[in-house]
Amino acid sequence: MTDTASDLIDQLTLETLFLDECRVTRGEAEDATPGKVEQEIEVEFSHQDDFVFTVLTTFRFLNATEVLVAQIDASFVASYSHSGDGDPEHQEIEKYAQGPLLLTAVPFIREFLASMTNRLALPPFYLPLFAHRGAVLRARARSAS
Amino acid sequence: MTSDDRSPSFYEERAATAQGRLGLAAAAAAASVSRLLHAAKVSSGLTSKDIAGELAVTEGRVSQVLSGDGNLHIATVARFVRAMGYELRIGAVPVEGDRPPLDVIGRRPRRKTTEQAEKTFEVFLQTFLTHEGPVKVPMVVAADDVLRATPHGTPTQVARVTVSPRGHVRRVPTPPRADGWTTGAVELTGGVEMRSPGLAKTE
Repeated sequence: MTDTASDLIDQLTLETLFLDECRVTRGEAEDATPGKVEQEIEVEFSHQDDFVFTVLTTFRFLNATEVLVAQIDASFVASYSHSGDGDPEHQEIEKYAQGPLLLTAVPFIREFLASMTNRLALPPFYLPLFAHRGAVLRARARSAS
Repeated sequence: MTSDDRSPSFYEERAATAQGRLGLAAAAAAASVSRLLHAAKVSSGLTSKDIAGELAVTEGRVSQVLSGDGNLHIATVARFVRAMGYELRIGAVPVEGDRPPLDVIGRRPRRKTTEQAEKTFEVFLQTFLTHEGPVKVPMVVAADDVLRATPHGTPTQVARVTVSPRGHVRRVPTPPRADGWTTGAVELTGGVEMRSPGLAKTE
């Protein structure tokens, strides 16, 4: 397979990215000493006029004794215009979602979570960002060579 | 004669008033100084002439002081005593009620000094994003300070140390602190679900 994800990077242009829905559920913990944060991030893809990725996130904030303090569910919608010919394959979209899409969406998710935890009077939570730093740069470098 | 019908002594009369007590204290001090000077002269074996020569004063002045001049300065007494080979020490003892003994040294309890001197610090590593990539920078903060997470992530504690007043650094074994939330790398936990029927999943 060619590096189709990098093809999509050149073909897709971000049009909108917004917070669609969010819900905060209070846990049973009485002590909010920061502990582990469990995260689930899934992506739904739909194709109408634009390519629409819906990033569904669930973050479970556990305290030091691993009792649930709060759960924040949020979905973000990113729509892209597509300039390529034909529809991309599922693999291409999945690869794009795992790299460039996350790289685009995670700063917004981070800001949302930091703001929300602050409003909940919890220590602010910042998603780690560096894991995917360079993923797109490497893809672009391979595309250019 | 019984104790009931005896008349009060001169001392008791003077000691009955505040002004009289002050006068008695001054007289007692003058008498003590006179005894002190005579004792020093006898013990040193010096003559008045020797003492006058040592102090560069006249022999008459020495006689005047030793005979009990009531207006001697403390410095004068100290010079005379020193000329005879002794050093003047001045003390005071409580004579009234619940007065505590005087602490003329002025030294604080050692325990408090120790508490103030030894300090405990914690050493953290904080990641910052630079043009060369993420860089870990060590930070030393006072122990048990509350650290707030920054957008660059939560600091990682690497050590807890105590610093003695002499600057000796000692590492204190301690479990790592968890001031912030911890989580793993951000990644998709499932595949991409297709909502458009036109896009077939290819293998």
